[in-house]
Amino acid sequence: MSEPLESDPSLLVVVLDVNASSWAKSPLTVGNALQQMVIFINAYLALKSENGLAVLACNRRECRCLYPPSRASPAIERDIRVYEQFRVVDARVLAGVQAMLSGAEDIVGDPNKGIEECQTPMSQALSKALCHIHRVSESTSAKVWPRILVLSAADDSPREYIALMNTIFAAQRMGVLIDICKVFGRDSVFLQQAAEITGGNYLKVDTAGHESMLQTLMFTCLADHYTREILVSPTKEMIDFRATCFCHKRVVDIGYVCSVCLSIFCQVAPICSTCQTKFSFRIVRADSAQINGNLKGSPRSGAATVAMSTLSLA
Amino acid sequence: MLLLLPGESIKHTSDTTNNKEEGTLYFTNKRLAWCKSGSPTPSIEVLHEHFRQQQVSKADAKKFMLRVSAGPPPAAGAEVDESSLTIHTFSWKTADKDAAIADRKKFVTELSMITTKRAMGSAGGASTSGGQTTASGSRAAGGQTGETAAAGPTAEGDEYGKVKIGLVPASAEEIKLRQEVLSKNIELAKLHKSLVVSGLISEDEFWSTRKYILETQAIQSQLRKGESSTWLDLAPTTQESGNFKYTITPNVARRIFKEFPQVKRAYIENVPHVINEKLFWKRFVASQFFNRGRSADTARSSRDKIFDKCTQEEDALFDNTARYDLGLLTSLLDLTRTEEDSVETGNAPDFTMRPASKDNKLALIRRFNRHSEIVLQSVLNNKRKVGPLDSKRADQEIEASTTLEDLEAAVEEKKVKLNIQDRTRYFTSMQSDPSDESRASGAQNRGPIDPSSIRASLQISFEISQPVASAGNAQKTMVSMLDSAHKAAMQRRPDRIQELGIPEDLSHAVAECHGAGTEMLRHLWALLRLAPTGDRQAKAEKIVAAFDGVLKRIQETIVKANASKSKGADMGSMIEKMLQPIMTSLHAGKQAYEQRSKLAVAAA
Repeated sequence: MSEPLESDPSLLVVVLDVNASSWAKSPLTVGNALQQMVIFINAYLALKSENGLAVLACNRRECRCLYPPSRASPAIERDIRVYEQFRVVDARVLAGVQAMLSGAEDIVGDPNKGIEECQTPMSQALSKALCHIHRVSESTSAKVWPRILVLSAADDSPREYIALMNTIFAAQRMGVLIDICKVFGRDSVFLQQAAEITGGNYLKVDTAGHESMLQTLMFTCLADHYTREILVSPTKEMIDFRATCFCHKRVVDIGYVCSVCLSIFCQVAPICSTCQTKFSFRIVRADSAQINGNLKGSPRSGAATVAMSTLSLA
Repeated sequence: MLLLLPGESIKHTSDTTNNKEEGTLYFTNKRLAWCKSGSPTPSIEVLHEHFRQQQVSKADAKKFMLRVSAGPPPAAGAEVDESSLTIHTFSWKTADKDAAIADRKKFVTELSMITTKRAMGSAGGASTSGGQTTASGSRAAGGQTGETAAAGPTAEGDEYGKVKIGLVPASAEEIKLRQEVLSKNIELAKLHKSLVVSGLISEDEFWSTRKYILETQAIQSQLRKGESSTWLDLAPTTQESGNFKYTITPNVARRIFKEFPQVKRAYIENVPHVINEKLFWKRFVASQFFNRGRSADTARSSRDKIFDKCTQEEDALFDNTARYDLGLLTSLLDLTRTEEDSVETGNAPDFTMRPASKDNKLALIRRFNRHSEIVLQSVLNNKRKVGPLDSKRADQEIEASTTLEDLEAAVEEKKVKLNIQDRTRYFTSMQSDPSDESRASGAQNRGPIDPSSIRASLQISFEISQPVASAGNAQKTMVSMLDSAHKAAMQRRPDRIQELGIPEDLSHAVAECHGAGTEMLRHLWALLRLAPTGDRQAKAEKIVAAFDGVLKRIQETIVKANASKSKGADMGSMIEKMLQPIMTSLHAGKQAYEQRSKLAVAAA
């Protein structure tokens, strides 16, 4: 891949997480967050006239493209007080998010009802974003440097782990940076890896402590590929790639991995509780005894010990 | 049980009889020993160096016996004196025939290993001993002949191959390894000096935490250097007098032998009883055999009986078509196979590979081929197995290499469906601890929340043209972001310590203080963790006393840094900052020790 030049335009795909159940718990209201995001988008558009933009919004059920609008969508009335290009984008985004939020009728009053209510299938949105990026870069002859900004409020959805990891690796191959802006809640392990693998930033904004999301975005995510080579990003220096065991949900440094389904356990068990595979220890033990023959204090059992950091990355 | 020598370990044991007395035969990494039943000291002992020959009874014999002859190692080159050998015979009990044979086989293989190892060692020596001769083109110049020692990496590699690191007491090989490591690593040697030589900790303690260094060293010493693939080009240097001078070192000679086996044979036949070594090489570089490939010189060089014979031999070797059975030549390599190809369909006959039409290129081509063969063989390391070439195998080979995998019928793989019981559970381990959430969002999550209030919080109403009401505390955000950016920037500069411009002697001193301090602390804490005994107490006291030495050293370093005000930077405070952690740790260690001594006194 060639080196980015200062004159090269960027293509930004903003993915808005509009999971109503999650935003309900947020100290930052969704209205305020959206307003700040719109300001950021305007700043991005103003930075370079060739800059491309797409805005996607997703909740638990669907993922919609808010901008660029489909042909069927109604025209927006003019407003002379606002710069035309900003107004079109802003109005579309605002209307789209409003429609999606009001469409989500089943807001859960009882938070204990379903954990999955607070999860957003981010892989859907990311793959849609990648498709859009691909289409744009195929249709233009000039080099466009793509990146994705995810405004995330919901929790990780473990069900879509594989799908998400696949989109992340696809993005890595396409040279797409993924920036993550997490406005509240606990750290998303999946999205942290997305940022780490693609070379983007994972930003956690402490909105409960009145940190400014707009300020964070402006400071970090406005920079294009060219500028990022010069800048130092205020990203988290250490990312925890360790996995937790399936049996007790403990974070483990070294665990036992089922050779069939790759479940992780903190202790040896004769039968894998996930896939019901029975391990024949005698055979495994003889092999591992040979391998570990020269190491003092070989592991208690023959099950393969694998450093979790490598496992969760693969 | 056999009483072991230091560093010795038993490999095999077996119940045998010797001279009609029952006992046990041991094979260890140092010797073969036989003890009478109940006796810990061996009545027969054969060190590996002394072992000469072994004989076994036939597999179908009534008794299963092993005869071992032993004697002192013969002087280099001398023949083994049969009369000086002592012979021991061990016989196995015949209750279980197969077990006895298997048992005996272990000993036989081990003993034969000794022989092969010895043979390899002497062969390595023989191949490296060659003469060093300096001969000049056609007129002789001053030269000297000298034998080089046969110390090769091969011998060393075998030595460390089986070193067991971490034995107490350390084996002789390990001690040698340690010395080697220390001689290579100056920093480690310094640390070793300040800790072990001064008597603070024992040699074994010092190495127990550095086993991996020894292991690396052992493995490195085992690595063998492969054959050089460079083309041997004997280029003469021109002297002032206008003569050419060729320099033939033993190394070069060895490679000449390898490239030209005929020369090796000629060397063995003629040197030194017909002509001396110097003259041999002189005639070699002057010969037609040597100058064949070299343009104009060929005609000028004189005829030479020895080397003309080499040329003839070589020609004879290559002219001999019976070298290979052409009938069994793999058709894939047979160039004549393409001759009948039809030009019409685009398969023109191959015209590139023709035998050399000019003889003067022939020698060079042969040399190239020979060289390539040597290089390839050294890579394969004699692992290539060439089976007997018969027509059946040739057919098989052709079939194997002409099969198109795509045309093969797909073979159903035997599969077992992965039966995961609960897929949601499968990936939850990737998430962080769910208890975080309840802590973060507090108690408000507990009870049901009024849906209408949630809906109110989701209302979006703002005018795009209006300024944002509140966007959080920008000041606070910037402080935290700049802080983490600063940290990231510092981490991206791996040589940020070099940038400080600390003089070399000072940074060495700092490293030494840290190294010595850390090592002492490690041993102190290890001692403190164990139950106190008089011995440990004394040792801990010694270590704590040595702390003062390190602290003094630290103070000296700081004073020295203060004295050297370079580039206006305040070196003193910088060095003090660098040494602060180790000072703190040392004080903490000392305090813990003193507290414990007080407790011990109180308990007493």
